[in-house]
Amino acid sequence: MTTKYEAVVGLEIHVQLNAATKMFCDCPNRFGDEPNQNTCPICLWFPGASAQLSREVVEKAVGVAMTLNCTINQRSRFDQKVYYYPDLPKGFQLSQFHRPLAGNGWVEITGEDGALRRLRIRTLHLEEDVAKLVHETEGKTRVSLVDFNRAGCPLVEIVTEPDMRSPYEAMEFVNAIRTLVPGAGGAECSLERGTMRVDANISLRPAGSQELNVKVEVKNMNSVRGIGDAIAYEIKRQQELIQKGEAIILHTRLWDPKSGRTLPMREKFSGPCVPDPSVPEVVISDQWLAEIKNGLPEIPARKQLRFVEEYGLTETEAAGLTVSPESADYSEAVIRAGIPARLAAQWIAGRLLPAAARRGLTLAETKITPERLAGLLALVENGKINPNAGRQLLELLFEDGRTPAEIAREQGLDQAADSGELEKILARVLAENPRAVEDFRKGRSQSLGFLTGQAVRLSGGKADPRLIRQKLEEKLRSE
Amino acid sequence: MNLEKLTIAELGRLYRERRVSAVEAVAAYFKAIRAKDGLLHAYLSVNESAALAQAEAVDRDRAAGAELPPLAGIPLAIKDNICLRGERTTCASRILENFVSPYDATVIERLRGQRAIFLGKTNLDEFAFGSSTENSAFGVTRNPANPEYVSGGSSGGSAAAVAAGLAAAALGSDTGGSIRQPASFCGVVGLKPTYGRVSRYGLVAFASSFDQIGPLTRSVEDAAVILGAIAGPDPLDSTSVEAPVADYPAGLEAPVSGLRIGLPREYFGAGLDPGVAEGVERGVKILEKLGASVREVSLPHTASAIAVYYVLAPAEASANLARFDGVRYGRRMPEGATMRDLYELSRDAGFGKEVKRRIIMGTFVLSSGYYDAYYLQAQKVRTLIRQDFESAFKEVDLLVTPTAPGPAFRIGSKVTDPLTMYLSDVFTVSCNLAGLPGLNLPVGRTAGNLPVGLQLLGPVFSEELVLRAARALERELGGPGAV
Ligand SMILES: [Zn+2]
Repeated sequence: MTTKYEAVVGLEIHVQLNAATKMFCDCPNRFGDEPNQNTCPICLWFPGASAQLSREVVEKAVGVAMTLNCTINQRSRFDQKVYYYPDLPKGFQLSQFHRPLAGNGWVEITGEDGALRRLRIRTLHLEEDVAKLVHETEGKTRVSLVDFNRAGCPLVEIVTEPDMRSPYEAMEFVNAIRTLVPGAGGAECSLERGTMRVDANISLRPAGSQELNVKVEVKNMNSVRGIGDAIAYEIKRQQELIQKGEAIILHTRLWDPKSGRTLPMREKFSGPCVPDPSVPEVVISDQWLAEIKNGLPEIPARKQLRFVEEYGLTETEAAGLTVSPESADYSEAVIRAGIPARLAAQWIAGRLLPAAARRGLTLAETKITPERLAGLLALVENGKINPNAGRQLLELLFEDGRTPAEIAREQGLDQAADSGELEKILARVLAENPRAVEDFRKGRSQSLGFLTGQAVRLSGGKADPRLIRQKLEEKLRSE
Repeated sequence: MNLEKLTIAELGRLYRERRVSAVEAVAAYFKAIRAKDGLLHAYLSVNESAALAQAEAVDRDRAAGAELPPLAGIPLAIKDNICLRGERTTCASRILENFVSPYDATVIERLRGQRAIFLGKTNLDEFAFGSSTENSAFGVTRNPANPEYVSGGSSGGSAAAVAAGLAAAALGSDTGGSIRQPASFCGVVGLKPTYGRVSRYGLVAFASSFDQIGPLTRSVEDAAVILGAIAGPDPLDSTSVEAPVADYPAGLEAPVSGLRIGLPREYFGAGLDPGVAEGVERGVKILEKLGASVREVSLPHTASAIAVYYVLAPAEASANLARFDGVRYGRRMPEGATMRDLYELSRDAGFGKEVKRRIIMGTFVLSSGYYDAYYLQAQKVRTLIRQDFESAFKEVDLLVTPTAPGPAFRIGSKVTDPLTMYLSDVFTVSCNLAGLPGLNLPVGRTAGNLPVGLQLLGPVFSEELVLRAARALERELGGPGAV
């Protein structure tokens, strides 16, 4: 009889905080500059230089921790993670191991069975980033270059409990972090751009058992899909080893997205992790904690509730608008421009967001500002164009920077709304369908629907059916 | 007139009275350096042209009638583990032999603001690891009182320079006695301030939770003047403390009657050199005569201090020295084929024997399996030692002890026995473990004419009181330089 195994997965997630400076000096926390431009004696760890912890970094990290329902440790400390590698300018990395900034957090995900699952966060702590190594060839010599721009940039590391049981749950956890943490305003969390890095610890155990077996760490996943694939691959690899009767050895593997495999990685020499004597204890007073809390953006759940209460939306509609802080802010801007909330919700969640996603763009990256969408929706709302033409106009707005009214006029999308044009169509429909007109006069009101359909067809689908129906009824009753 | 034997206060008075120019004083010092430093080797590097340029500027401004600060034009020596912009900072180590600092330490910036003049950088035990400057990669500093004897350490170069008249005053650093012990060996005043009183920014770290920069001077008043110039919080050193900086020179002459002096029993046991015991006794008698009350107190954990210090300080040092890897600056050995070679060869060639010994000790006590038994245990005892002092300072205002168990020893006499060498710090390390201010005052000479020193220890941020008591003793002993 074969044993059934279940996967035990925990994640270690590094998130770059978007503070203005590095963690311990005033160098900009910025990427894409010339190599080694953003450096100083402190982040290069020249003799005599010492660290000054940035207040903003602490505030951003606390904000992230609160968003993830963590308990804040009002006294935390830095430790030295000692290892020798050229990406580390002082032979140790300042991190919080023994006394982290926060812990005991959680996020909720929808499990594969549709039920809510609460996944626990063990610790959340501050850590400085390391330099970037570039390996090149100069002539025939292989050289390694070090760019210290990233050295000392502020990170938080989120360490979960081994609560995930499948690649799906791990992916959902990462998705939750990607939604919640940017919502707190402290970080971007883009796997693709490397502002978030996810390592997974994976082990197997007989289903139903509570033991924790030897784990393997997998690194280098740069998409949510990759995280799922890498975990799935590692589960399969371990299953095969167990079936062959081989032991699982504690080590680290690198995910290779091209081959879809993980490969063992050479370990850096690593030494002790001991309290750092030079960075003072991080003490967060009650007052400071309250200030950080008050300064936090609304968390999505609370925002959703407010959208229901304030704008009279259904929960589904509100959820559709508050998927990200960006879409929530965008929606509020459209609503503030005078567009009914429900109409805005239908168009933003139902049309604009999918259309942007198809193009691989965020809302901010499109040409469609809230003002322009409000312009389009005003045309729809006032019957200047029909919803169908509105959809066409939305697509055009992605390419064309002019006002929605201008584009609609030029593209003839609003011609059916033009009263002269519409009058002609209505006259023609009435003239060509005497029997339907007759039926209406005899009290068969359903023939109004038939006539409306005919008129919409003649307008090439551009005319607003509501408007046509209303005008036809007026005409028939007045004759 | 022997310009190079004057105190800061005396030289400053001559400047103000326009009887001497800063250029004349600087020239006199370089003349003395040329005459004596070939033998003594107090300096690792000097910068005569820069010093003269600074002196000319001071003289010009004074001639123009500018109101100048008390340290304007005063020629100082700086221990070579404190960074001066554009100057080599070697820490007496091969690994930093050609390292030029791109920035000024905060203390240097503050002294520049006072228009002080920097003559050069003084010798030390490599990375301040030692008690005799015999661990300098560039040769020992001899004691001006007797060149066959060590100058003490690790700030031996600074102590010798001040004692021999090669600088008006000097900065040193003190991790376990590195200012006070050489001050006692060379017969000068040496003050280790409270931990956090002076910014450590720009001091090459030995053990970050112990290190403090302080003055070595020919008089108590000079120590007060320099402390006043360098003390105070610094945003660049987050361990510097926001406590107010007193006008240290102003309170010096106040009486000490009524002061309660404690003599810690554990500091007066067997093995104390008779000359040292006699000097300290003389000092205590003077304080009593001046109206202070003297009583015996106990610091029961004193016996553990050396052991605790030599667990914790190397532990911190091993991490602080991890940055010297040949990658960004300092000595790099190019022969290696791999990255590991780069590290190993550079560090092997760059570090001396004592540095390696301490890195190994530090790494050992931090390694898993030994961390709890050594490092954590030592941290606990450190707390007990601190509490010993806190209880003692409930009964007395200041403690008086010998600074070192004996006078300077012969060059080479202890180098083969590191444990005996470590024991020369036995009376100074507790002060660093507890973060207290401590001062060495010369109180006499041994039969062999070697200086002996008395140590005053006070509660945290009691520098004013420590200096006042020291000044009272100095006055009664005949004034600066009398013993
Ligand atoms: Zn920097």
